[in-house]
Amino acid sequence: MQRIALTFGALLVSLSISGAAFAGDALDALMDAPVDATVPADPAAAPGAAGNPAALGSQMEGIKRDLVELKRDLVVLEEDLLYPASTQVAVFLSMDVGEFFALDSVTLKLNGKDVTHYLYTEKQADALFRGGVQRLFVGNVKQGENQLTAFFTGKGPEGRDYRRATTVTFEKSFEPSYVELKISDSTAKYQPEFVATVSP
Amino acid sequence: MKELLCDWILSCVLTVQPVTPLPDLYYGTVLYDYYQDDYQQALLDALIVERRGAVGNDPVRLQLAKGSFAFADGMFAMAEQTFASVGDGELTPLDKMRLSFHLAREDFRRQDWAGVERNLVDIDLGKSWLGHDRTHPEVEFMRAEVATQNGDFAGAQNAIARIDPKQAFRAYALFNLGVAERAAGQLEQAEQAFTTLGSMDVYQADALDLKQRALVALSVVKRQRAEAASAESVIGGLPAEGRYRDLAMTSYGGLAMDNGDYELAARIWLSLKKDAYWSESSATAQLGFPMSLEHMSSRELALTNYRAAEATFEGRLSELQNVAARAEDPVWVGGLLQVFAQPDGEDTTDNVMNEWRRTLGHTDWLEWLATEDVQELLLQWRELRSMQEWLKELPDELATFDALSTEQRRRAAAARELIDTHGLRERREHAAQALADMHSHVDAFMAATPERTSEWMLALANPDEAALLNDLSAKRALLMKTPDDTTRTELLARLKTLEGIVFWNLADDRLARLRAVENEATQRAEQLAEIDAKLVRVSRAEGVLAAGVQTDFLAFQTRADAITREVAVAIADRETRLGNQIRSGIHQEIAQVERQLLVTRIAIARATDQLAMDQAGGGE
Repeated sequence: MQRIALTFGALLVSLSISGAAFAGDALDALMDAPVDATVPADPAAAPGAAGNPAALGSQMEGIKRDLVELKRDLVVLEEDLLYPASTQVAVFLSMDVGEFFALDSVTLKLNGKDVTHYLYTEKQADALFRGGVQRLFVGNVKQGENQLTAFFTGKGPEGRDYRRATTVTFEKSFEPSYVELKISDSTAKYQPEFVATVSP
Repeated sequence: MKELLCDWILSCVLTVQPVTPLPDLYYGTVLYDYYQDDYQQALLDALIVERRGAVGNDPVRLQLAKGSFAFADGMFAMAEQTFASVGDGELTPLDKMRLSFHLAREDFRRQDWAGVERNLVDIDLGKSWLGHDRTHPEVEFMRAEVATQNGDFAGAQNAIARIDPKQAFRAYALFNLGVAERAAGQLEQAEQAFTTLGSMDVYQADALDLKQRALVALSVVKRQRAEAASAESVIGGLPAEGRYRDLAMTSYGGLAMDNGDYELAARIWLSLKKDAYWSESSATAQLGFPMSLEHMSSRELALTNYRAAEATFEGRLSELQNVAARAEDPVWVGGLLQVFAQPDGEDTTDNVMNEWRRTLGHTDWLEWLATEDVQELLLQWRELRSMQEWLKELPDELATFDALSTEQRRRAAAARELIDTHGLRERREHAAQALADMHSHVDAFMAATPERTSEWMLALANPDEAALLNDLSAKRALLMKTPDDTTRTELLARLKTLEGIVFWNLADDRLARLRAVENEATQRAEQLAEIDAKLVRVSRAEGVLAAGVQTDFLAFQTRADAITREVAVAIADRETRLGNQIRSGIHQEIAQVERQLLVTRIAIARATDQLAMDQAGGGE
């Protein structure tokens, strides 16, 4: 009887541990640390089982920095090689307000030839709506007179299908040329406006 | 938050100028990436803008944006350096607030609460035109966190109240407040925080997860407050599926046992036992089920189930020991990690997962890697692998650029040869000189009075007239040798008459002829101008092409090679660490299963004794 009591006592201790586990303590792990909504906590603050996170993070940042600088130089190199200033033309797309037009796609024709066709995701259109500018096209053109036509497709006022085009003629000089395509709202007409401007 | 970010965390390009300045366009492209949450690309674009010197008149905005992107991409040192480089003197009041915001985020990351508080003091967005305080959700979130850390729970609640309910920040702040209040022993307030979060409408996946987590936490707090029935009701309200399903059911089972409802508890444990996968909850259920049966006075059934649990734990232990032996092989571990090398959402990920499930019989290794620091390791490993892939492609790309550069130089040499060898410049100069002479002659003739001299007439005569004049001149010379005076005089008079006719024709037609010459000179001048333009273009193109892109491709490749080596070392390091984590996870679980097996065996011994005593008692 004494043996049984001892065994039972040991079990109670063990079961009390298990019981606590499913009754609460395991759940407490949920609330061990505050949750950070935005940024990872400083790894230096609490070294974990995975080693020294601060050192790893620092190593990682070093590599990322070297790589992003390499990428930067590569992009600059690529553009300088492929699009020399004397022939370069870049087309930017921006949106000012854009309440009267929901952008679906843009097609660009340069000197009568299709050079790009871009379909927009909701996220991309939203990025434009919020003030982002898309570099839609970079390419080469001959010096002298060139003509660019942009076709915009989307939903206009009252959700109607909408397709408009805007054309700009520009003189290519030795300097890089920039064309800005801007979608804006004409509050007077309750219609979207599509404007192309060239610089220089 | 997005709209507000546009409003003041980053300045947006919303100008109405007819021609947007190029730096504004470039800044807009950076924002375009940022608004799509592509922080790496945004940072890259910002660095390109900087390298191209297209910063414009507002360098601070790009610096702030660059620091912000670096921060979002986990490059904290770069972010810190960038923000530190922004001089106070160049900041507008709005820029100062932006900088304070970014610095507060950095302090928040370091958990330097005093620093966060100090920086947040500088942020005052003023009032809207309706007179309401303008707020920013992340700022208010940080304010709430600082107050929570300082034990100022009322202050935290005030800050939380200022966060838009649609923002996930509100859920995070509420959860953290509840945790802090519970830790401080303020159970009623903690319950209130979790209740608020648990009943909130949420709009993001992470907020929904927090909401469910809050409900589980609420049940814990309620149980702490001896409100078992209420806790059970909260747990019962959780969805049947989801991340916290097992935990909630375990809690539910525990609560049922607390309430003495062993039948309900047994049903819950049975349900958990039926799970196809092994988890802490299903392991708990293996023990909880016979425990519940014991209380329902079916000792024999309890004993049978304790023995079944023992067999399960033994099987599990054997399986784990087998896996532990295989986990010593780095190749095996590397294969396991392939799951994380697959792009998100690809079918191949599922295929690899299924293969491991088939091989291992379970996927607990995912749990072994589920801690936050290991997650960070995994993310780093995955990012490093992606860098490695990119770097692998680089030599080909550089070779293409090198070939392109060589071709451009070849064309430059050809252009130079055209200009130099064929003497284009000299020939052009010669033509230009001739044209200038033509102009000067025309000018002279325009200015001069008509003269009946050979020079004047020949200069204006057409080829036929010039031939006639030369013929007359030769005939005159011949006549001068004639001895007969009469004949000479007569013929000379006739010659004079003929010359006179030519002269008067020329004098009469002089202006028309000069105009024609002038027109021709103008056309030639235009042609010369075209030639000039072509020469300039060829020369400039030659200059550009000859100069080429000032890049030493070898140095470029050397840089890439150095990074490739660093990446390879880092990958090997992460793989070793992850392998250690997997092995550590296996051993921890082995220890846990061993404990559970021990407890089960003790329970079997006790239940056997108890059954024997019952039988002995019945026999007596």
